[in-house]
Formats: sequence, C-alpha cells, structure tokens
Amino acid sequence: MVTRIRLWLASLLRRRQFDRDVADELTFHMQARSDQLRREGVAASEAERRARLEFGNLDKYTEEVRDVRTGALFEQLRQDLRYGARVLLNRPGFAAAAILTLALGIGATATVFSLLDIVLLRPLPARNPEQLAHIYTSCRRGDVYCFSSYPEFLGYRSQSRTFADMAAFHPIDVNVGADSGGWVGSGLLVSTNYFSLLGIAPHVGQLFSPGWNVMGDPPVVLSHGAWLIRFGGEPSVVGRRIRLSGSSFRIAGVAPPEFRGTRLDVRPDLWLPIDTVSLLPTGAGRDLLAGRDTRWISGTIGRLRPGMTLPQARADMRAISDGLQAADPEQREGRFVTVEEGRRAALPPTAAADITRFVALLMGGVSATFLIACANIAGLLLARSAARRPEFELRRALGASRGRLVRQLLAEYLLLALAGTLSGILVAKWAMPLFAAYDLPGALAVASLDLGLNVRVLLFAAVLLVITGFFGLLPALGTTRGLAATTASRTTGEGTGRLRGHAVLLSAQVAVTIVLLVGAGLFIRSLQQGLALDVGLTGRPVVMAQIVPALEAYPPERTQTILNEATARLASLPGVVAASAATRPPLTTGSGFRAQDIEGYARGPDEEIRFESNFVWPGYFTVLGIQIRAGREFTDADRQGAPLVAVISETMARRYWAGRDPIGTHLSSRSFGEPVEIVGVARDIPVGLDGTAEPFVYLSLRQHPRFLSAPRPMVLLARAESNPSALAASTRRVLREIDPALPVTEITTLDAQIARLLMPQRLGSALLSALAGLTVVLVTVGVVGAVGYGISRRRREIGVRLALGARRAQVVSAMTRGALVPVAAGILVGLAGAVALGSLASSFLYGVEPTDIVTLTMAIIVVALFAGLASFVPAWRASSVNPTDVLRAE
Amino acid sequence: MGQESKPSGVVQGTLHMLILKTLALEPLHGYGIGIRLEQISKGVFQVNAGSLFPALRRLERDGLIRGDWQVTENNRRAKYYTLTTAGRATLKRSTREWEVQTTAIARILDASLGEL
Repeated sequence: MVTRIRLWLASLLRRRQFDRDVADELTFHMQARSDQLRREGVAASEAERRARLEFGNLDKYTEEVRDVRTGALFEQLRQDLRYGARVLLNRPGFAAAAILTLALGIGATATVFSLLDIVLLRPLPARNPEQLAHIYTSCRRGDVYCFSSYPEFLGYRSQSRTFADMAAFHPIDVNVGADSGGWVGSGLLVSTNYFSLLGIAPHVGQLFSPGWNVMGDPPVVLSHGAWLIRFGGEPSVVGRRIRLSGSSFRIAGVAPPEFRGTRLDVRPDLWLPIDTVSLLPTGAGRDLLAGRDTRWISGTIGRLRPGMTLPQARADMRAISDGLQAADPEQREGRFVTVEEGRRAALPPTAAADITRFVALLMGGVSATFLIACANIAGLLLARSAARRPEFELRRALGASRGRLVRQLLAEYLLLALAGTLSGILVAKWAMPLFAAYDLPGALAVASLDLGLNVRVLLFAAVLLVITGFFGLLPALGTTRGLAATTASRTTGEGTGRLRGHAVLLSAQVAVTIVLLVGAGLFIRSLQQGLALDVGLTGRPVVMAQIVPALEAYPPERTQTILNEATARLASLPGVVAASAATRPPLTTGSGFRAQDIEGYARGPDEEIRFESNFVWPGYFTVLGIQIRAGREFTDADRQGAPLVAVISETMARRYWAGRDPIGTHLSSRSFGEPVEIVGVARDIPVGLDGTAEPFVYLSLRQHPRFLSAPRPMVLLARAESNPSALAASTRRVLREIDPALPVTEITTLDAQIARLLMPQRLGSALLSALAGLTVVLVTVGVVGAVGYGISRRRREIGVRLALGARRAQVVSAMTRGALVPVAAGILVGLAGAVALGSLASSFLYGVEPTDIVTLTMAIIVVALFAGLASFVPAWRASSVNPTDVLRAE
Repeated sequence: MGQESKPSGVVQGTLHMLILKTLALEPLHGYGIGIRLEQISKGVFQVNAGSLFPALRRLERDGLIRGDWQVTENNRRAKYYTLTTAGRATLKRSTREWEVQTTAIARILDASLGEL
C-alpha cells in the first residue's frame, strides 16, 4: 500500500516523464514487430502499417497502463479532485466564501482549544504524571483553600501510606543582585525532593537532591527562560554565585524548557530550597520551618505509590487529618486535606472553578460558531446543488453510479474543507498572540501560558476537518437522491424533504446566533458597568511603579528616605505634575482592619466595624484626582510624632457618622495604637469591581513606619501632564539613581491597571462579539440562500401569481414567509437557550443579570433586522420580474 | 476512462507466472517476452500488447520485476525487465501451487468410477 501511494504521488508529480516512458516502451514494441515482419519479407511501409494495426490504439494503452500502475481508486480520486478543483475555480466567489467561513470557524475554535488544552488537558512534563496529586490544606468545611504550616506538611508526608513521596512549594519574590542584572524574579521555595519526585532531568548542571547541605552552600536552580534571558543561555553560569535578596546563592543548574512548575499561576524564574527561606528577608527572624501556627506553604505535590488510587489517597489523608486534629485540636481545628488529580498543572485553587467555567464558556461559543459555519456551508451546497441538478442528471444518464457522484461531490467538498482547515490553522497561529494580551479569571495571564500550535491542537483541527466532512456528506447524499438513470424526472418536484432540512438548518443557526449575541451583549454590558463603576479614576494620566523594599530587608527609615527622595525627584521631572506613594495600588482590596470605637457612634453589642484601608503619602489624592469633599488631605506635617490623622471615604462617613460632621472626631483601632483624628472626607472609589464602594480609611504612611517594612509591594505614583506611558523609562532611571539595589517589579499606568481588573470581561466580550458578528453574517448569508433557493424553485409560480393580478407586496410576503417562519422559530429557541445558559456566565457578569431585558431585546432586533433585510431584498427583486418573461422561459 | 477489461483470475495469474518464468531465464524487453512465450509454447500462447503491458505494469508495481532502460543490439532504447528477489520467491510459490493444481485436475479428469 505504501509503495502504491508513493507511486501514485510520483505519478502525480512526474506524470509527464511517466507518460513518456510508457509511450517510448510501446513505440519500441511496435518497431520491434515491424522489424520482424520485414525480416519475414513484408515491405517496410506495409510492415509498419500492420504493426500499428495489430497494436491498436496507443493512447488507450497508455491510459490503461497508468491505471494499473496507480490503481483505479487512486486514479478516480485524482480525477475527482481535479474535477472538483476545476468546479471550484469556476465559482471562485463561492469557494472563497466557503473557505473563509471555514477558516474563521476552525481558526477560532483551534485558538480557544489551545487555551483549553493548556488549562485543562496538557499533562505535566514529569515522569508518570498520572501518579501525581495536588495536595493542599483546606479550611472551614473543607471547601476553602488555605496555606499549610511546614510541620503540617511534614506530618502529611511522614504519615501517608498511599503516597510514595510529597514535596512542598511556596512562591516568593526575590531581588536578584545588580551584578546579575538587577531584577525581581519570581522564586519558588521547594523541598529538595521536588525535582526527583517529579522526575525532571536538568537541562544543564544539577537539580536539587534530598541529601544536599543547602544551608552550607545555598543552591538555586534557574528556569530555562530566565537562563536564556538573564544569563544569555551560557552553560558556564553553573557554579556562579548570585545575590538573591541579600544572600549569596550558587547556581546549581537549569531546569528543562518544558518545565514551568506545577501550578499554572506560579511560573518560577528560580527554584530555591525551602530551608533557605530563613536567609531571605521574609523568613529572617521568623520560625517558619518549625512554627505550627505560621501557615505559609501554598502547595504540595505528591506521587502515589504504584497501584494506589485517588480515592484511597483521599481516605488516607482524611485519616491523617483526623489524627492530627486529635493530637493538636487547637491548631488543627476545622482544617482538612484536599487531594486532587495531579496529571496536569494545577489551576490557582481560589479561581479554578471560574477559570474552568470561563474556558468552557469560550469553547462553547466558539464551537457553536464552528457548527454554524459548517451548517452554513452545508446550506450553501444544498442551494447550489439545485442549480447543478442538470449536470448530475446528465452524468447519471451517462452511466455514473450514485456512489461515484457522491464521491465526486465529497471530493469537491474535501478540497474546500482541506483549504479551510489549513487556512484555519494559519488563522489560529495569527490569533494566539492576540489572546496573550488578556487575563483569565484569577488574574491568570494568558501570556504566561505558552499558547501555541502543538500536536494536540493539530489533532483537534483534524477532528474539526472530519466534522466538517460530515456536514458535506449530507448535502451530497441529498443531492444525488432521486436522480434516476434517465432524465425523465426533470419536471417533477424535488420533494419537500430538502426544503424542510433547509428550514431546520436555518432555525438552528438563528438559535445559536441569538445565544451568542446575548452572551456577547451580556459581557459588553458588564464591561460598560465596570467602566462606569471606576469612572472615578479612568483617564487619569498616572504612571505607577511597584517597589518591594522588603525584598532587601530595608529598615523603615531607609524606605522612608527612598519615598521622600523618589516623590520629590519624580515630581520635578518634566511633564510630571505631582508624585506620591501608597502601600496598595488603587482599586485593590486586602488591607482590612477593625475599629473598636468611633466617636459618637453607638456600636451594637456584637457589631464589627470593618473597613478597607490604604497607607498613603502626602499628595495621594491630588495625584489620583480623588476629590476631597470635606476637610483636607495629608500634608508633610502629618509625620511621625504628630497626632495620627485619617481621611475617610463618603461611604464610611455615611455609615458611621450618619449626617454628623466627621472632621475632628476620632476613630480607635488596636492596629494603629492611639486614636486617629479624621481630617478629611474623600470621594468614594470602588474597591475592585463588585459594584459597591466599601467603607474606606486612608492613613498617613509617614505616621505608621511599621507598614514601611511590611513584606508587601508599594506603589509610587506620578501624575503626568499627558501621556503617562512616556514616563516609564525616566521613572525607572530616577529609581535606579536613588538606589540601584531597590527591587522594582513593574512600571505601568493606572489605566492599564484598571484594564487588567476587567480582563476576563474584555476577553469574553471581544471574543464573543467577534463570534456573534461572524454568526450574524453567516445567518444573513443563510437567509439569503434559503430565500433565493425558494425563489429559484418558484419562479414560475411568481410569474403566474403576478399574471393573475397579485400585488407585489403579496408576492414578496409569500416568498419571505418561507424563510421568516424558521427564523422566528430559531429566535424563540435561541432565547430559551440564552436564558438557560446565562447562569453559566453569571459569575463573570457585573451589574447585569443573565436575563437582562435590554440585551435580549437587542439580540432579537439584530437578528430580525438582518434576517428581514436578507429575505426582503431578493424577494423584492424576484417580484419585479415581468410575468410573461418568466412564463415564456419555461 | 473506460471500464477496465479484467481477464479471468486463472488466466491473469498464469500470465504473470509465465512472464516471471521467462524472465527467470534472462532479462528481456516486453516484445522479447511475447516472442519468447510464443516460441516456448510452440505457438500455443499468443500474447497481445493489450494484456502484456498492463501485466508488466502490475508486476512492476508489486515489486516482482524491475525495468531498466538499455540499448538493444539494433541500437534502439528498450526497457529490459529483470526478476527481483521477491519475484523469484513468487515464481517458486506459484509454480508449486500450479503443479499441485494441475496434478489434482489431471487426477479428476482421469478418474473413472471404479477408482472411487
């Protein structure tokens, strides 16, 4: 078989050479015969004539020989493909439309699939990944992800009978010394058995091994990416020493390129042994490794013993958890162990469900579009087959079997599908980088996921090709049905079956389009809601630099000096209006405090006064343009030693002062020490995008030096006159000049930060809008096709009606009804589907319900408008014919 | 393209075997094969070009013979066919089968009632 295919391909490629060989051989045969005849005494001219006569038709033999050589099936396939290509080239418009439709459908589907592949399918590049399991401590009723203490992890590991081994890991940013480029790397602290447990081999050098003396000579393993980008891919870096957040580490080796950690949201640049946490500022002076109440380990990965199953492991860990609780009820109260399948990299535990649902949502939308595209092409083929009926009848009459005709049509379609799939793969390759600009829920950046074409994506495209092929088979079977071997049936009708098939296709398309339009509409509406929500801050030309002084264990005084200098120097940069700093970027949460008392407020017996807070530098409100509604903002005078002051938000004022003037009153919280005087009231800024503004308290960072050394990033903010992104480079330069060792993680703009908060909504609305737009076009084409098909079959009827005195409007309505009834049915089904599926999307929607009436109405209007126009125009044109022309033509 | 004219299985099989046998003696071009078959069979088999060339093509396709362009004694270019190793094995097998079959057929044709 292989030889045959090779010969067939060879004969396709070298046809001319092959034919010449055959002709030469046959010519030789004739010459030899005539030579012999001459030897037997026949005259030369007569000999040649007889040889030729005996031999017969040279061309016929050539053809036959060719057939034998490659096999009849291949020859027919070649003919079918060639004929198909010719047919398609004769109708380039149709072919281009079909290929484009398929290319967009397949391209979009393959792109989203590549995302789904990474998030849900791709196995870890580890040895026997099916034996792996993700293990973490869970709280409350076992449904909330929690950090573990190191002793907890050791307990899990030593007591487990189902796991052969377990390794703990925790992400931690480290500041890489200026002599190694000076950058903040995302590090991953791991127990030393991490690499051997996973079965990862080093790319260069060595990876950690359990017996290493890591404290005597602290080793670090680089990721392949960091090695390439930061160290130029030099193998000689192994053994070199680098400074990480103030301590010296030896580069032990480089991890292989395909290994990027075991969690999708944690893509380390460097791996450090977990014991070395005590060398880093975060762990210095804290009893992280022995403390039973310091919970900081974010994850554990385990390898099951051969033959052990996940349910067995869960039972095992439940028993261990119960045992730990019995031994230490105080620390283990309400703590459980969750074991999940570890074949794939884990999703961020807090956002796993959201990410899965979101990807499923995108996949659903894109698959629906793909199916519409297929259905549309099937519809086009069906409509076109009506026009080609005489051709098929002729071929049937000339002796072609039905199977041969079906094969012929399939070959034509196969060409379209192949071209569509190949262009689709190109579309996907082009579309993947567009995706990289977005984040999934849980702030999981698509850019960090290495989206790309791989074997699974290509296989998936092949599956799509097969599905596409199935859609081509049905019209082919339908077209050739009822074709008699004679052309006698010409005037009889074609039956209503195909017409009904057309109507069902159209209804289904309309239904799916409605669902997609509603989906896109909901995302767009919630995006609008989101943008409207933070309108308090959008458009402010602010550049933000994130710094983490704690990574180098800066004492509060040094950080204070840096902030003083940085704000002063940034403010004096040309193009900068003002500069400030804060412990949190605007629009984020996570610094909740409780107040024990608010002057003049009667707190209920069990009432908790909770508020979000931010410690800010003087000028903060000016820089961000947050209006001060009463009182004043912080000044340089609000420093250490001066009375503690605070600015509260309007919501805070409304809730706890209720009409009284807060200025001059006091708020007491154990977290701040002495009572804090309220000196101002600022306009509400929503926290996150949940809609409501929370009670908020701003405090003067200068008065709380303890928060200057917290192991958290801070932001420097500079307000530009116009374009803030132009200031990024000079901001970085200023920070370098002030302190070359200062860890700077990111320089961005306020608008970019706001955009990132709405990323999933942006991705959803961008993709679904594109898909919905595509389906509207497809449905319009479908309606045009359906109406046009009906009209082509009823041209004669139109003529008769007009001749009998029907008014034009009556004819138009009769012609459009055939298309608009299925459209109406599709709209109804689609609405029901959209409402049913809406709940799936509800967790990604802000300020809009899945049954949002505006969105539903808009979807109906769009579909009705396009379908109406698409059916009216051809019908109107058809009704303008001269009846006598039509009747004579028959 | 016309419907392919298929010789009956036995005839086709036999022709293939005979061609292989002729080539087992020495390499020959197509015309030579036809002449040789005619000579050896003392004129019983006359092979026309219409069945000879498709048969040669099949054998070549199946890897049983190999064709090379060479120059004849009359200084003409002709395609000479040689038996391949696979061809030799096939010839041996089909000869054995043929003998078994002809013996059996001969026995059937010679049979008289008494022997049963």
